[in-house]
Amino acid sequence: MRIVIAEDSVLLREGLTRLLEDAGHQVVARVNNADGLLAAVDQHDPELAVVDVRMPPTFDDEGMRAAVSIREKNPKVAVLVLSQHVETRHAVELASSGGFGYLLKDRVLDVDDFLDAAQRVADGGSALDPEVVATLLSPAGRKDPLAELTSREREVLGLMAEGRTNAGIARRLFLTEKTVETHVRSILGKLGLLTSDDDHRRVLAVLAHLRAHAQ
Amino acid sequence: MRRRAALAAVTLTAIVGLLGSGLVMHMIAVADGLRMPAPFLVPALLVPATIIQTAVGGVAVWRQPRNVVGWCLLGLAGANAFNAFVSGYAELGVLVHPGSLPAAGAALVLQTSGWVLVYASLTALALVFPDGRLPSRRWRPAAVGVALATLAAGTTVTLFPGTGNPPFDHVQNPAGVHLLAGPLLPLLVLSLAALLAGLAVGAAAIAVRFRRATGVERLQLKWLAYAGGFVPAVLVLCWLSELILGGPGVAFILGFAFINIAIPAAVGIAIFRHGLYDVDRLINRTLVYATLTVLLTAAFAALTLMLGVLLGRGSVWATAGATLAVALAFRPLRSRVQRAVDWRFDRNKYEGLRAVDGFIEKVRRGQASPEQVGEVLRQALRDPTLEVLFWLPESAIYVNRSGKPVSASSEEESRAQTPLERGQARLGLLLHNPALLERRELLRSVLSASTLAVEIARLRVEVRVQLAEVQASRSRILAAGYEERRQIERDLHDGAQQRLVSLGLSLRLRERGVDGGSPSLRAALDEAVDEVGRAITDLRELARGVRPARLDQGLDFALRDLARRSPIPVELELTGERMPTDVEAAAYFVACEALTNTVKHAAASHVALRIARENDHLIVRIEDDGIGGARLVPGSGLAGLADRVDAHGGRLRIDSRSGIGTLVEAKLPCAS
Repeated sequence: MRIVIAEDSVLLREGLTRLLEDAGHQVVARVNNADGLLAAVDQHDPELAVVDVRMPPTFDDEGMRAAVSIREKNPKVAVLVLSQHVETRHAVELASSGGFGYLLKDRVLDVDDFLDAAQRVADGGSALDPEVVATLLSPAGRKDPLAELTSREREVLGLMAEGRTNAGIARRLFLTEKTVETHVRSILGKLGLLTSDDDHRRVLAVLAHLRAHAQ
Repeated sequence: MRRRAALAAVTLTAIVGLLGSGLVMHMIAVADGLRMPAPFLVPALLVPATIIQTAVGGVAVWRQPRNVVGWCLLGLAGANAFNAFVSGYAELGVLVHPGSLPAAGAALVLQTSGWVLVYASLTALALVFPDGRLPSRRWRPAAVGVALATLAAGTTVTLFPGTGNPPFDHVQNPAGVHLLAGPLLPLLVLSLAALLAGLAVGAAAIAVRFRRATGVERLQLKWLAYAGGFVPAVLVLCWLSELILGGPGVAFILGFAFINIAIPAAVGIAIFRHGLYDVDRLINRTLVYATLTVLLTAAFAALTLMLGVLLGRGSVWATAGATLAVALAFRPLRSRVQRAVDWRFDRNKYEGLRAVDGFIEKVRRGQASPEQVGEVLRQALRDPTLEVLFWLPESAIYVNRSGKPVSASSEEESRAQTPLERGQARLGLLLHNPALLERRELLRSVLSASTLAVEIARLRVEVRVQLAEVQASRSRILAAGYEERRQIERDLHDGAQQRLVSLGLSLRLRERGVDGGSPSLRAALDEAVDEVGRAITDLRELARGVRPARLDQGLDFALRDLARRSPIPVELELTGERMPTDVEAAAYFVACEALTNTVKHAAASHVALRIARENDHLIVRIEDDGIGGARLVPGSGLAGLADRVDAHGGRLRIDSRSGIGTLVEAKLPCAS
């Protein structure tokens, strides 16, 4: 697929490029700031943009703001945001609409997982970093329905929230897909969400629930 | 201009010449056997008086050539010098060496009538002081009348037969016409009365001007009136002396000499404005000491008389007792008289001082705060625009009572500035209505009475300003600390961590590049990448410890993270509101430190962390069910916490009873 990379560290930018190109993708543009990113997206109309959160000039969250703007203007372009630390501002909100991923930077060291997440996002799915999910999953009080989940269910919910499919979850936890399905049904029941066979819609429901809870 | 200067020079030379030669002739006459009582008394008084008149008049003519006042003084000096000359001439030519000098008889005649010129000069001075013009055109007839009266008096005195004053009391007036003695007498009386009336007209002119005058002119007139006020006093003294001692004698000479000195001195002060403002104080003191002298003298006389009757006439004990009583009465009587004079002649000062004294007493009793001194002075000096500024020597600025800096130099022109001092030390500055400068004595005495209050107020304001400065600097340091932590956190994330990610990625690419190569190399590279991954995780933990990046998103997010990582279950209660950044940081670190303490020492099974907003305060409460017994020991984590909260202007409360658990509550001000 066609990819635009926005990252201000040269080393990392080149590394990412090689990683993605080695995996058979085509990196059509590499920029080091948010304005350049928006221009490159307009020009090249890529399938995916890999974006660093902090970039010049203010090193605050211009990458995230650029992601929001890309998703608004051009929903066909998927965005995978990379960050040095967990930040849930915008992340959950954007992930709920699909075509968006948010990962800590060091996830790229898990090359296969990273490429998998990039693919998932480009396909309209979502990929949330386990750290972000863990933050969202921490129960805020005793009345929180999350507190009623078993530890296995919580594990499954975390992977669901990261954007993984039942098959992906089963692979991860060395379970059969049937067992995973049972857990999922139980989780959705406890959270009061409608069951659905569509992986993606299910993830969205979970995220929407978590987001509502997180605020 | 040059003609004036020439005229002044001639006049000065003439005065000096006449006075000097008159003096020399008088001394020769005395040396050659002139018989008169106290031959050197009159010269000893007249010479300095004439010199002062000449000096003041000369400088006045030089500095303000158009002002006639200087010429009036020179006229007075000239009259005195002329009199000295003619009497010296007559003494030599008529009394000591008859026939030795030409026209000695004429000198004798002029000596008889010369004093009229002195009166004329004084009257002229009173009429034109201080601007050199008559008060108005309507005063012209009066001026002409005075001139005519002078002329008439001079003529009649010259033509009136009889003997003169000592030493001419045995010589007949050579110009006297005995035939005319009868018809001339009423004329003489009339013209002398006119001369006195002239003086009264002069006094009236001063009074009329005084009523119209404002500002400096009023003070100038006061000075002349003060000196002129001695004229009637001297006259009364002369009459008394005549009644008691049977002749004007020494009293007349002393009094007249005093007037001769006092009037030019007063005119000099008024014209050159040196010490112009002290007139009220001088009048006040003169009144006080004159009254005091009269009272003490009367008391002394009465006591001497009474004790004399009791102890026998001429007893030493009577005099000693009276002296003792008078000495003892002096101090209390003086302050009584002072207050009475203030009350009678200066009601403002009397009431102003009473207001200040009452205020100081209230301050002493704790019923008023010294900072109210400004309001009290406003009332005491009757100036609603008055303001007291306090001097802060360290920052070299003036501040008002609430500690706000006020630039004294840029103050509007409409207010005068008077320094407030205690000894040499500067206390502050008084901004007030310039009209108060004319009441220098009132201002001085009221300010001196309130010095103590001003000084205490200044100290209190200074302490408050310094405390606020320390407080501000403490929170600035704290804010700088937060900012530094934030910078370190960023440097860790964007510097070291970023580099490690790049390094890991390049290792990973290398590993994938050696496709099908040595498995041991691949394994080694894989392990290296894992190691890099762990280093990144460690670094992220470290950065979080310095300052959680989530604090950027808000206190709630940061605290939720904190609770999630806690080994003891934490029950959270959050506000969902954003607070100013430094307040959020302070609240976070309070919660973090308290939670760390709980985990380390409390052996608790449950912690409740509550954030609440109460009016303008953010309350952070951390409560556990542990063993309790936490105490605020210097150097401990809790003490650091207390300092942090303090620096924010907040308050930390610790309630930690043994066996019940620990409650840490921070109340942080957050006006937003």
